[in-house]
Amino acid sequence: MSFVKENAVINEELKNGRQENLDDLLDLEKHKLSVIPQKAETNTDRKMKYLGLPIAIIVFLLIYYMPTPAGLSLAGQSVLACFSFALILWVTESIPTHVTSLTLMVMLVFTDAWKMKSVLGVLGYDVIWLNVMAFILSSLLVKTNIAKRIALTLIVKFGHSALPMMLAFIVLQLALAPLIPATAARTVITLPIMLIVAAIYGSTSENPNNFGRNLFLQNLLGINILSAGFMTGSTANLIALAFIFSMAGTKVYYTDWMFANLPVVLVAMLIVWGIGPKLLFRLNKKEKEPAIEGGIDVLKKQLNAMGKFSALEKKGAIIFGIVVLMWVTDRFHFGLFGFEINAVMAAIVGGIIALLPRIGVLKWNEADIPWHLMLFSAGAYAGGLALNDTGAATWAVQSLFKAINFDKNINFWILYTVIIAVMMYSHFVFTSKTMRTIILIPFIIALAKELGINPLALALPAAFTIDWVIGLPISAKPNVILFTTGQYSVLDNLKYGFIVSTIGIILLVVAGMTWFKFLGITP
Amino acid sequence: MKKLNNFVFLFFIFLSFSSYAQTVEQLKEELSFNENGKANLKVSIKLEKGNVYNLLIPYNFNGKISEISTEKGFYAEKVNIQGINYLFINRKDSIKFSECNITVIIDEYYDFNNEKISDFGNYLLKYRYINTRFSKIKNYLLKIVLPQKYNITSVDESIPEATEDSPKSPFKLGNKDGKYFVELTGENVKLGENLYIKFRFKENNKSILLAILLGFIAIGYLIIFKDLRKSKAEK
Repeated sequence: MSFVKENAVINEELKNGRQENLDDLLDLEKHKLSVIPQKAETNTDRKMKYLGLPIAIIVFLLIYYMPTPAGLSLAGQSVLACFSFALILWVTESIPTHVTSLTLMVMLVFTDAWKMKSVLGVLGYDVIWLNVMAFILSSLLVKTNIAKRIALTLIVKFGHSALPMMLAFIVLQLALAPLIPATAARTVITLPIMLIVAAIYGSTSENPNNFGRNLFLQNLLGINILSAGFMTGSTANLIALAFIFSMAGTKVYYTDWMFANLPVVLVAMLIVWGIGPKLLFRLNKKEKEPAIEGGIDVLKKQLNAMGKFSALEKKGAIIFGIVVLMWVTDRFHFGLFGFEINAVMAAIVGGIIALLPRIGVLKWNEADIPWHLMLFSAGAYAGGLALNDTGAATWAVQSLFKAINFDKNINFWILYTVIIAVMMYSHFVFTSKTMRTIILIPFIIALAKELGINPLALALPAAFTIDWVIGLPISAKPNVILFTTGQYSVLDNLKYGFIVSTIGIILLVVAGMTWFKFLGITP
Repeated sequence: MKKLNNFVFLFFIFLSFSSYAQTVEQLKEELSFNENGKANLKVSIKLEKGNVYNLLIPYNFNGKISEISTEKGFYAEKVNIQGINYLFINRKDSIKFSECNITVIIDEYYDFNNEKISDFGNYLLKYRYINTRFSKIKNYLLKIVLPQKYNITSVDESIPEATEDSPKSPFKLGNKDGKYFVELTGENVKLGENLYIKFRFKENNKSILLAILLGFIAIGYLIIFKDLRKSKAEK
């Protein structure tokens, strides 16, 4: 069938009102992220909303007015109180999440927890800039129809039902992980595709469904933990290895890391892919298939109707290609140019080109930037950074270790499980992987030495948990960006993050007893 | 001629103190002060090897030393050599020693009226120890104990500081007998190097007004949003 005939068929369908629905779903202009959607609420949501603020205030007062525990500063105590207050409000949504963030910023200053300059300075952090640029680049992919073309291609090939569609995203993230180490960059690349695929399955920011929750949270997991499959996946991985080398005298090579942990990460992804839509956010029959009347055939026709790459698409692809090229070649920049272009700067360069008159493809008004969610990110990040800066996060984790009180007769596997669990769950209080690594890994190595255990047996599996930062929207940069799509709530993220982290612990313990033993990592 | 005489005199004083170029195994300073600003500084020093007849320990705090006490058989006094303050320790019986403990009472160590900084009723305290005497101090420990009703708001600066290469925090906070304290540790402090801590502290009592205000907000919220108690169907 020729392209002209295809269009004629689609026009005919449009007359029948079938295509209108598809256009509505695919037109992200109609689902602008910068507009706060009116979400439908359940009775449980209403009760949580009602009780959220009073509970948050009670928790705040209890922590703020209790005698300061030894080892914690007054500022640290205030941060703990303010952060707990905000966390309860983010989960219960008594007030909108961005208003909670603003409240948290004000409370941090009022309670002398963090200096005003530091609190306000968070808006200048790289994660916020990356967020802004992510949405400009995402708008570029949407406006030029590149995102639509990729999403339709993916759906036509894999999207007959939800599970193969989600598996396709795992494969996509796995392919991108070794090429682009920056997790935020991978998020930016795949975000518009996720948005369109979610829309086709009926999940929008106004009306998110369980497909959207599964898709976005599975991608959040994939983007983060697939970095754990490679030693170079994050700077924190390399810092952990530097500690293992300098403090324990063991050198871990790229392949040692990959052979040990990549299988664990892949198994984790497959388990979560399997149980996510069945147990965590159960898909109903409607959510398992594209919410398009006429199904895949209509989408096929839509893809065909797009024809060959338009000039606008080509222009958009070149601009985005330049950014991706800068992300992929980051390690060669210094040698080539004498300076390095990091992920954020590359995104800003892309944003500049995209917005340039005549050369670019976007006008400022077409960039869909959800500013309310930037404020959410800034406030949430301020809370997380204050936890780090005041030593409150370190105090919480060290207190936990002290309370456990290890002795020399402790069974290795009990110790191993506790270490992995503390390391894994510690991402709920640390917003920085680097901070978590530099505080906990040396402690674990020292503990192993004290107990007469090979430090590698504890420190390397503990290092494998560094990239499992999946519990909260502020746990890592990709989380901040993905949360701003409105496809899931803080509570959804918390629930998913906690359950999947627990699965991760079980997997690492099983791997420790079998696979790591075979590789000679554990005794 | 007078200048030359002074120089020769100082040169001989320097040579005569056998603590010069000694390596110190451990130097501990515990400074506690009260609400009037009067401080008590306990210094204990242990040399790595060899015994000395006398010892000069540099100090760098403000205030007027009103009393110096030592263990039995020792004698101590403050001296100033080329603008640097030292505690000069000697044995009355001219026997060599390698360890000693001194207690110094300092009047007007901390001026609560002048040191108050505007934000949130905080006071600022800076303490610097400069090693102007020993070739190396292997282990240095400074403990600053606050008056009873005060607590540490935050440690804003320290030397050494935690870095990626040396992630262990050089300071720790604690509480003993109801008094909050901060401890700073340093290792292998060479001649000319210094250790430093700057922190804010304030009275431990918190305004009850905030609790009352938040209580009212909680009650007000429960009243204004009482419709949320009803299910959507009831509404």
